[in-house]
Amino acid sequence: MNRRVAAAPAKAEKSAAPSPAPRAPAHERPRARAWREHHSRSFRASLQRLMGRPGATALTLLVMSLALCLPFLLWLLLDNARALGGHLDDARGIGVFLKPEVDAANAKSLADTLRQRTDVAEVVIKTPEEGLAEFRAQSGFADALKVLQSNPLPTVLIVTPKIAATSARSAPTIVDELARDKHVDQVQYDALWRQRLDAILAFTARLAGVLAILLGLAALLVVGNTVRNDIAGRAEEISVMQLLGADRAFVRRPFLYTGLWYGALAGLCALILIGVVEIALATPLGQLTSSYGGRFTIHGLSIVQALALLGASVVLGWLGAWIATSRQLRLEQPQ
Amino acid sequence: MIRFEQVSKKYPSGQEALTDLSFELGAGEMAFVAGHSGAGKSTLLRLVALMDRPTRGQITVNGQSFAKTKARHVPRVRRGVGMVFQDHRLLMDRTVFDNVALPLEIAGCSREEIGKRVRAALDKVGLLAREASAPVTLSTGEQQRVGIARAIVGKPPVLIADEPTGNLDPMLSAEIMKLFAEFEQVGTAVLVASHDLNLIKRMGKRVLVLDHGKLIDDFRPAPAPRTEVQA
Repeated sequence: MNRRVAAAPAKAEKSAAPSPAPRAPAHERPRARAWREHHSRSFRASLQRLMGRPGATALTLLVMSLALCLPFLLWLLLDNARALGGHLDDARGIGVFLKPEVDAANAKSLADTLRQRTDVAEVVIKTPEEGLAEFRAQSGFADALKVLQSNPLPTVLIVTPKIAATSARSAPTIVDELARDKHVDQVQYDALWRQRLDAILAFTARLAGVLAILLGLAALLVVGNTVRNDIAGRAEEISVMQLLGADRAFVRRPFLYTGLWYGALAGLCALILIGVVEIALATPLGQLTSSYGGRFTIHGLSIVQALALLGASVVLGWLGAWIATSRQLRLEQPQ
Repeated sequence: MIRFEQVSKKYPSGQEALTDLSFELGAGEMAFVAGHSGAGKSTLLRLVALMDRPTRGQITVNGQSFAKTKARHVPRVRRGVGMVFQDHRLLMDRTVFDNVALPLEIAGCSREEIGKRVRAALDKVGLLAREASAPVTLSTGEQQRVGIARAIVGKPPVLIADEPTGNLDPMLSAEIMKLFAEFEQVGTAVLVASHDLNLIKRMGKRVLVLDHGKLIDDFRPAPAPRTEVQA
């Protein structure tokens, strides 16, 4: 500390010698430079102060980074679940189970009438034979099915409504109309459970948002409290500076940089934590996704998301320090 | 430089610290504020430094009427008032140089100018060789001199000191007081609170005598030094 201070003015003099404040009004320039110098000094000094008490700093950073990474992990999970949901878009088809007595010709004429409709994109006829073959291939009930004397499966029409005709939330009107048709035994609309999944995802998204706000608030309080303690520990220094005519911005500056550092370092810690969690979960998740035949893949945090986390963390740190200094410095102001 | 017009200060506790105080101190004038402890010396200096506001009356320092000074302009007013404290209030985690440089940093001086002016101030108080030392390694008298260097480094038009020799032996006290008298000669208004009557007497300066918050004497020395001082 001593050495740095003694050397600083000499260095400044040397560096200033070749260019004695060109351009700009002579009285304006040094002031702006002094301001910049105070910023860079606060920037460095606040980091040195944090490094000066590694234990307390580490604890603060750990709490902050945990608070930051939890909502991000939940959000990541949600994002992946959404990607999984995206593969189920084809589940929008309406399964129309015809009555057993409806024969192939009737089924075909019904399909043709349906194809005329403006809100129908496609109709596929699945005969009982096709259905049985499919059932045999998929369900592993091949042996059990052999026991059956006749084919119990009805003719099924797979009706795909036009995208525009299916409003986001409600089932298309065609579902009701089909259910009333005399040839139709049952209408199965898979989009219903898809809607349910959407609702679950929306709920989880909201949950992640609420958690992010709560935990962000916690991070804010952690920084605020740390800076408050810092201010209390430097009350004499602050009081002397105020007596010497330091304004609020001057007194506040080093503390704001402290908050900034806490935010940046906690953001980095949170990224590392998320990375560790991703590595720890990689193997079991890989097994899980491969069991789905590799139809979807798990993705981690993108660069943009990582930067967003870092940015949010820095803003939280700065804001926490700002709130703490606003409160404390108002109390310190002798009046 | 400093003008008090019928100033009274009553603390929230109900204690009347100053009553109807009026005086004026010009540029390049030095005065002592004398009186027993509790007479209101510190309150008077606190009012000059805008650490407190008067309950009644007008205070003008450096041409600035305090009644019209908003809270956000208080720092600017304080930069025009150099302050020396009994316990010097140096920042112990900074070097002598950094302590003295603080008012200039606050005022927004450039590094080069800070270097020049801090060394000039330290030279003035005879501590140029100690600029890189930590204040704790200095004697009490030296620490107080650093405090004075810090108060004068910004060349404030007004210099106030609250019992600056309170912790010093008589010889060091006399040295410190002589230092203050030097600033008077460069046009600074100097106001020093002290209860050391012997010392005040020897200095032969104007003395404002307070008793229970009232100004009971404004003693100005005749051109020829006098020895009589009222308590």
